[in-house]
Amino acid sequence: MKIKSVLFSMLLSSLIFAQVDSIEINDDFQNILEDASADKEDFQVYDLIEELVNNPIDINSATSEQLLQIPFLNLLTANAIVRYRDLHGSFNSLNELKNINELNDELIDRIKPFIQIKKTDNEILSYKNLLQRVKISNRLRTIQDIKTRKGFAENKFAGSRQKIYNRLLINSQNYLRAGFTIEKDAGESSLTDFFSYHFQINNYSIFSNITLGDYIIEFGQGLTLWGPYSFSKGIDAVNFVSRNGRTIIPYTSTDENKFFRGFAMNVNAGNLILSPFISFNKIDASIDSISNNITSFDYNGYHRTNTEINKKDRVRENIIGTAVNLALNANNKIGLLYYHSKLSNELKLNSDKTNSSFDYYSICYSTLIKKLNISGEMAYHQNSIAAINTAKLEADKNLSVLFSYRYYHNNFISLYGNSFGENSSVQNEIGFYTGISLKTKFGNFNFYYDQFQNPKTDNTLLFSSNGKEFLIYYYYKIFPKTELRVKYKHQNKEITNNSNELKSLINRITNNFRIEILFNSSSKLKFKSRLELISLSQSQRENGYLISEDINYLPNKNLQLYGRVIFFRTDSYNSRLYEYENDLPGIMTIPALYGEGMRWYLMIKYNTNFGINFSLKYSELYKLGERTLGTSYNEISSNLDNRISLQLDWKL
Amino acid sequence: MKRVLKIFFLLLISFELCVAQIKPGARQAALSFSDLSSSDVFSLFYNPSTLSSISNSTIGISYSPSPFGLKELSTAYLSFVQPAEFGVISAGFMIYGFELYKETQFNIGLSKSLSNNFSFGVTSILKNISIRNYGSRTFLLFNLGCKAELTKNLNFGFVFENFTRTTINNEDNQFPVILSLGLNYAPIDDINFFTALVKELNYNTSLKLGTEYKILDYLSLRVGTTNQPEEFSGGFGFSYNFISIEYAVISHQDLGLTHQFGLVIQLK
Repeated sequence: MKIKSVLFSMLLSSLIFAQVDSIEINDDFQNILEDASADKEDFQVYDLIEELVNNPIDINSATSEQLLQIPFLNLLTANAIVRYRDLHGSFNSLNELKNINELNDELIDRIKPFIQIKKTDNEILSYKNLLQRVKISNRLRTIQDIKTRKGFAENKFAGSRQKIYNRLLINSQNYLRAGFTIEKDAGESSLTDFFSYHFQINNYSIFSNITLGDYIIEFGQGLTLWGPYSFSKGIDAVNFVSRNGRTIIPYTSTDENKFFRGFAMNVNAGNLILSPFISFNKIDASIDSISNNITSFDYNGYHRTNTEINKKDRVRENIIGTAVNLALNANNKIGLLYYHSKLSNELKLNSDKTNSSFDYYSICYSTLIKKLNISGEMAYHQNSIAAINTAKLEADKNLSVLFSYRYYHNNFISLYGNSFGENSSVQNEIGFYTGISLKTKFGNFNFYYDQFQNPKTDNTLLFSSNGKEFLIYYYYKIFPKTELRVKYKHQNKEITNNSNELKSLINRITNNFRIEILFNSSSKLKFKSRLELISLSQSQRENGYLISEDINYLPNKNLQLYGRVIFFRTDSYNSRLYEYENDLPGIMTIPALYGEGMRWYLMIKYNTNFGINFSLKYSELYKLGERTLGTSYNEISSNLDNRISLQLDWKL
Repeated sequence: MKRVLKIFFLLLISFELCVAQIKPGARQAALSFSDLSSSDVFSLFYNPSTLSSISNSTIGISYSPSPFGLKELSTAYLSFVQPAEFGVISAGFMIYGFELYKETQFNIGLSKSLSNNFSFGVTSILKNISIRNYGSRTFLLFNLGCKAELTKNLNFGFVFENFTRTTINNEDNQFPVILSLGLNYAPIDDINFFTALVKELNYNTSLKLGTEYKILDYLSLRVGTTNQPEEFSGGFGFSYNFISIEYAVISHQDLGLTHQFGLVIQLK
């Protein structure tokens, strides 16, 4: 799944106010809805960021490699921090970052949640110490729809109507980390329908980490290995195209398939980090009963009906591989990866080809020449290649330009790849992306232009197609307490028209305009108004709009109230609009709104003084003139869809 | 030959008349032709006014051996610039085509600074088109360009091509009539950002973007992109003393790759 970068950047800007061990959502969060690529609820990208925020990096001891784990930092900026430290000695306060020429204020605000200044304590690592310093945090959540869905009404679902989630994390001074997550979706019968666990030892002898249990691996630019979530095109035009893989990350999310289960470690040998890994996992899949071939993987993670239960854990996958990351010097880094995946069944690739064994070779690099940062990855699999190369030029701290060329061959099948692009898979795409970010006295401008092509055709894709897309984003503090944000996005893309017998290629032109005004009345009270328009023309012309008003009220430090009301009208599902919603800590909800109707919600958070926090949310979707909402088993026979969610966080 | 005719036909329908599509200068090509305001030996073919700042006589050769992979479309340019007392004069020559269709062109330009931050230039073009079995004809066209230095690091350029609206016969607009506006922003000495808006009569407006970074004293890297046609480009220039060697590649979304090479020599 690709999450547009806007989501990420806004999420991060909201984390400026974050505490080290609890992420509090604030109003900026809500800006992120529109670019989200999928109307999936429960964006687990939150876990990814939470994991980074909970383990901030000490800027007085971190190497440039460690700093690169922070989103937004690249070789130029990470090296600048290290160089400043070498010249001027340790940082005494985060404000000293402002003295570094390469960093602008916005960037400093964005990285603050991920860094800290550790007080130098030369404590000797002992088991006694570790046990005394253990931090335990637990999150328990339950979500329930108030109306009955068809699957329950017709007794198709095996389990109860609640969605239940519990996650326990144990952390001792970042030396020892362990945890488990259980999740049961609505309709699933077992409380531990999904069970994930991890155990990690950090900085022990030559091992920078040893991980047991569930983990993900991020390598290079994500052509071969990445987690289930990544960031793609969005209002932040220059920061997310090029990436810095963080190698081994303990898995704390709830995507039920796309992670590794086994053993992995980082071995440090001077400038070289060797990361062998091994995984034995089971994946949900549909199996053809005659040939015993895998017809498709089922990544949605639902096990409610008999059909869905039968797909659960049908395929065993054994993976073995190694990544090597080598820092030649401060400005040049390369990495190599090999991994082998063996599936228990043959995977059907096209009408006459199957395969159960996959080998990947990949090389990645990042190099800094003066103000130019060039990075990329090239991967090889089965006589085909996927490659992405990105050049980012930071003229000064207020102006940067980025160019990126990607080429993903049609035969390249990436099981765990998740890289930059228009398509969701690392396959059959050629593209050229240009991004510009400019900060001026009159406001900040972001712009990108992306040209893309799906050159090959096959049984499923009948036509080769072209497309282009551009976005302009402008934000500016027009008054001391008021910020204006304007976004315009235009996409012209060729799509296959399936509406009649004779399939044809048609042009789909989408124009999306959004204007938003944020008003911070005081530190306790914030308002946000938004108007969003969409016009779409393919076989016919469609329009839609959305108006929303948001209020955040924080009467005292323990209590927080969030409310929003949205009115929307669109001609059909094709012209749907997305909206990011404030939700319980750990969830990001981005529903798609279409037809005519309204939605509102209210959320209350109460933080007690003894380490227990409660959150409660009630939301309603009401559509005019509809008899049912949702489709198939999710259908409800009413035009009101309401839901209540409750969460309890406690820390020791 | 089939492919040649196919692409030739494509070019014909997309540009009404198949006048030479490949413009000179690997530097300009690498920037997707977004530079309208810096001086370059091939500026004669773009914005002649920018030549007014040239102080050495310079000669340039530009060659594109097989545009879109077709050697039949190969194009060669020669350009010469000579500063004089009353301004800068320039001359250029172009040859394009294959046995069925041939085009030659001879340009003469004059550039002059009117003040320390404004200059202007004009080019006259003698163009000969010869089509086998149909004979040949010669046409006279004019281009006009201006350049303004808005601030120390911001330049503006403007070009009006074929302002006499010369055409081949009774039908209008067979040689393109084009208005281009461009900005060049150089935040520091080594970095140039270019943007241009190009409007050709009867076509959509095209936006062009380009970036040039002089990464080493002798090496410049260039990237560019444009939306009409959908293209992106890249290249480098290697200069040593009075010689520079340039290379560019342009990727057209439908027609594929075009390579271009250039050699620029400063004579004194």
